[in-house]
Amino acid sequence: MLNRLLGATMLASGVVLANGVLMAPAWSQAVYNRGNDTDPKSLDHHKTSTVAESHISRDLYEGLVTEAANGEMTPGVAESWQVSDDGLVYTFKLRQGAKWSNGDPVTAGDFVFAYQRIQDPATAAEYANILYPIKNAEKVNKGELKPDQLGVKAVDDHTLEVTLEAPTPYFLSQLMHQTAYPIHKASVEQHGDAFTKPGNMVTNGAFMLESFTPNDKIVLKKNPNFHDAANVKLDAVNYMPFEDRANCIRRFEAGEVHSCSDIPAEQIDFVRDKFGDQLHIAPYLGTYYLPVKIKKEKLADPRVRHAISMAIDRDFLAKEIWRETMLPGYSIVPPGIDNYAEPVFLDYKDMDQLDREDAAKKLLEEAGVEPGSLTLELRYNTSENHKNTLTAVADQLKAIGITSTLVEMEGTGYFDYMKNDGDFDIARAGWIGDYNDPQNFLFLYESDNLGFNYPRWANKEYDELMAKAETTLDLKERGTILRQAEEIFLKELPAIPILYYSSRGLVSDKVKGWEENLLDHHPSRFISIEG
Amino acid sequence: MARAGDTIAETLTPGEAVVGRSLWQDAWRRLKRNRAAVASAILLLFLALAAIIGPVVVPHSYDRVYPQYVRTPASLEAYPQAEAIVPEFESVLSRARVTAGEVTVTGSSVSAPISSEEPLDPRIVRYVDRSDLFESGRIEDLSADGKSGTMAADVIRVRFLFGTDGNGRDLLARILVGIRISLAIGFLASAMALLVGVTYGAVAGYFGGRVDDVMMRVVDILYSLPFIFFVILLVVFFGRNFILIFIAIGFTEWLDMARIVRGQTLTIKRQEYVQAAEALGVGSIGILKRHVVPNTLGPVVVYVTLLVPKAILLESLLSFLGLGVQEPLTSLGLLISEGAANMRGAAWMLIYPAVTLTLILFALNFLGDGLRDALDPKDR
Amino acid sequence: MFGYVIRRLAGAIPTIFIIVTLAFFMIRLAPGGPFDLERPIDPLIMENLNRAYHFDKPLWQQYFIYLGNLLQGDLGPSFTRRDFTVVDLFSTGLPVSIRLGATAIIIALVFGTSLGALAALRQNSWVDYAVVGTATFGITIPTFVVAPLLSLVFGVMLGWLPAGGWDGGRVANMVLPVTTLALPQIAAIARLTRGATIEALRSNHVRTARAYGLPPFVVVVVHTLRAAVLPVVSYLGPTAAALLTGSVVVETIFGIPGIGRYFVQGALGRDYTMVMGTVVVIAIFVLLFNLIVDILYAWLDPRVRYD
Repeated sequence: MLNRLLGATMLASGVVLANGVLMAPAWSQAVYNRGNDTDPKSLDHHKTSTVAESHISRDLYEGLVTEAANGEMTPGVAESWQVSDDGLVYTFKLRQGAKWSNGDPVTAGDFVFAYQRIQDPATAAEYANILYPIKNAEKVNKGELKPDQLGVKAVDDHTLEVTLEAPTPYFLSQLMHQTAYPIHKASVEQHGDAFTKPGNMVTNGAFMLESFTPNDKIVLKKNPNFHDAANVKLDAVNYMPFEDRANCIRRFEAGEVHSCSDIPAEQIDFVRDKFGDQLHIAPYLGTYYLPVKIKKEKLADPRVRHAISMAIDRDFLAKEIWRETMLPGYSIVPPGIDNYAEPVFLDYKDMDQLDREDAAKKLLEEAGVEPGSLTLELRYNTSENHKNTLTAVADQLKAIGITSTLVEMEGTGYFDYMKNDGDFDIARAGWIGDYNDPQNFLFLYESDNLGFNYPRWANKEYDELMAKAETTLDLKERGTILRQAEEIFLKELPAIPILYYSSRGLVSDKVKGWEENLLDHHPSRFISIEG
Repeated sequence: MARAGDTIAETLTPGEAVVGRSLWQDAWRRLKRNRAAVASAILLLFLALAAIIGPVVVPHSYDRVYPQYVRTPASLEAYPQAEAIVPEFESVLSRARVTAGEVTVTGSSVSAPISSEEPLDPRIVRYVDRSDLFESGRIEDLSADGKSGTMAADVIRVRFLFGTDGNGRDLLARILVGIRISLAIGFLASAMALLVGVTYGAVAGYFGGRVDDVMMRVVDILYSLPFIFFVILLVVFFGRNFILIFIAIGFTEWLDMARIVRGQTLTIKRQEYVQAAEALGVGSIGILKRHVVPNTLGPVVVYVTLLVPKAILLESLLSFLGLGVQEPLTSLGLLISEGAANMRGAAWMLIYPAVTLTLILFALNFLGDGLRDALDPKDR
Repeated sequence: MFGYVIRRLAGAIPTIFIIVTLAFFMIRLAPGGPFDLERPIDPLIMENLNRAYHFDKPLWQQYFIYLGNLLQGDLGPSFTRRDFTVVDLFSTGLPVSIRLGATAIIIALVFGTSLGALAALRQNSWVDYAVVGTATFGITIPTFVVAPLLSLVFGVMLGWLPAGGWDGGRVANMVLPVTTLALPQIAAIARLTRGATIEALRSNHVRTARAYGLPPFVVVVVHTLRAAVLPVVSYLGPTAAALLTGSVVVETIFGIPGIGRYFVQGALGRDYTMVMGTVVVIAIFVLLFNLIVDILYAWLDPRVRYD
């Protein structure tokens, strides 16, 4: 048995060596070895939802609108578009030169097919709700209407008309999301679910799929039929998943990887010393917050929640626990977001921590909480950083006479528990924006959003403001309405914002065309490798 | 290991002829002659004592967070170091919103002239006291209008012999608690494996036939069920706690024990003394208790000393996967896996717990070897 | 002997059936499902998903669907890697794990037995102490410390070998992971061999052989090692099964596309079919290697007979 295995091993290594020799000319190619958080759940972008998946889809596909290296919206497959006066009908003119990787032209029909497919209940797309602003989308997804009743229409091969439920000012930025990319109809019809296999997959982005080895790498090759192929400098991109982020750093240092998508907080100091400005820490569209079970008597009083919030030393968390890869957070909508009025913060943002503790003690007293009588359970899902954060929070709460215990849960069980109204006191959660609009943060706490609203907070005024914003066309007015909603949120504080995310990336000096931006999107089509 | 006194005659004495107590006395005598085993036993005792008494003796509690000393390298010198005092005092004074002059450090106290637009509020000393570095802050030489004076404070000297962790907790105190938890898990899990495995194996081996077939088939089945699966299920159902982890480890480790004991029992039950007891009409339970189990103990004891390190290592694997004990408690495995993540930049977080674990496992291994040699009936 | 093997193999089938049944219902007891992610899914979409993957049917029905598929060699689709079926994943991952594991076992056997025998022959000399000391050290350092250390020293600092990755299985990429896997096994095998050899050296037949004046080499190789290898064989059974089905730690830290990670990834992500697939594969390996051990035993030790 062992002998046979040994023989097989030697044979296999022989084959590989031969391959290595045959593939020798590879050195002349520009290949970008790109570290990613994990493997995608699927290359079918209708079945994706995570950041890691979006990086790959962004390279494979191009939507109606797309983004520049700095993250700003630019025309994609659509050359131009018009919006009707009531903000309900968008008419897109598709560019003539847009082609699929097999040479077929990209038509309005491909978009219609894609948008109908994602809402079709049979597809079971996890992120179909991103496109709910399209007329009848929700009903189609619920199975109440047929997919062909969706508000998308191919006027001709190069004209696409999209009708919305309500004027949605952020609709264009939603179209940059991977759920809004087209799909090559013919290959899906021919191969069914197997259309994502290498050889079957046809894409319209700057790159096309070459191979996919799970837990190893996904190889993308330059798409010669891409309309802007002349400006794409890379010949191939290797997406490598790194569950062990420290491994990515080692391989980066050894020159085997050009960029890492994340850096463990505990290694930031080391990485900063070692790699200097190859480390990129940039503001990110994300908030880290602590949902509070407001139904519980001990936490029902907003004053108690504010007292807890005041006692949390966010500067310490950001600086010492997260090694400055997070920023102290005092609002649910992260600063720097588009379509918003002046940001609003918790009013003790600039207060000194000690004064805050005094104020917190006073609040607790007003709320009738005896010092030392309040005991809390802090719950989090397995992760070194969450553990350290909540350990620090527990210590900080001691200063105002609140005793707390920590409870760690394994990820899947945790989110199941949180979603199903689990019996927590205070937990942790985080949200990374899908598109650059405050609605994408504030909708988390609408009372009918049972999936995300862990505290089960229901505020009529808040819901009304959110509904009003939905139909307000004027961006400035809408921004003010949304701000009012956030003010209510921060007054009631069903969840305590404590940090804003930063994106953390390690990018080699050799990589050119990589620009920091709020969404941390870095399409490979703008990137080149030097040296 | 040390078996200098061997002679052929001794070696050829059949071990079974020696009964009960004298076997153990004999073993004990020979164990004492084994220097490595004795040293290991002493080391283990010392570590166990350190784990029990240590946390009380060490000046820091294992869950006390020192916000100003996050990730402080191990050092014999007391903190704060001189160059850290001045900036910290300045930052404290700026938090207190007073204008501060030159900071002077004399011996173990620090002072600086302060002034303010408003009369100085005596309560601002708490900003000084709140710092991990200073205590008994006081305002001296207050001017007549109360707007200027001197802020003085004593510097608190603390030592972190093994440094601090990512939350600013003393690593020495955490290692001591970690030893406690790891040893407890190791011994409790082994005790559980011992109890279940010996009973199960002896029963299966003694009754033989159908019973044996079925019982061993169950062991086979459990053997092929992956361990981690089992642990994840338990953790998911009951949350993370210490009892669970040793139950989980014990439950997987008894399988080997059952196999070993069964094998031994198969040999023992053919021995004349067992057959004699049967002929005399002693019941099955009596035979199992009086004759079978005591005679399997030699290999079992040896196996236990191998089991304890195995359990400790399994616990560390669980910690690596994020399924270990709950904070603020910790185990050596958890500390090492945290340390491995901090390997670069904070090497002390890996080195000290890893050395401790290695020492414990070394000692257990040598003790196990010593016991095996001492209990080996041929080696007399 | 042949009849015995056939009977054992036939006996394995009900065992696997029981394991599959147990595992199937056990994993369903765990809270949460394959679609519970940090970003929760709209209840409506969840319904669509459940329908698409038959989760809306009663559990017993799902069980029979699974069994039916299993009999046809279909382990089902993976829920967390939806571009692949579980069979796809294993057919690319298992060869990788087997290559790594088998190489590690061979290396561990060669080094472990020779070091162990050497130590036994030079008992109580510095060679013996060195071997025992190093072996103990090898067992005590957890793999998750050894792996990043090796990668750091040989991949990053010295730059002799790749710091990670598989790269289609190049020999250079295999060195560090194989070393990590082999080290504790070398240690364990060396200790076992040493102990067994010492015992064998003192046994009557070796003494007799020596007394007859056979050359020491023949005594050692023919008479001693043959007996000494028995405990190693029984140790290797479960160890080989474990090594060939991949190591979570080594595969995660070096980024190797084997199957070791699938079990943990599957269990944590509630990828039921993936977990079931791993359980089936591991069970087959364990049963197979138990059988191999028993056969080897019979071959090596004439006193053992299977009739």
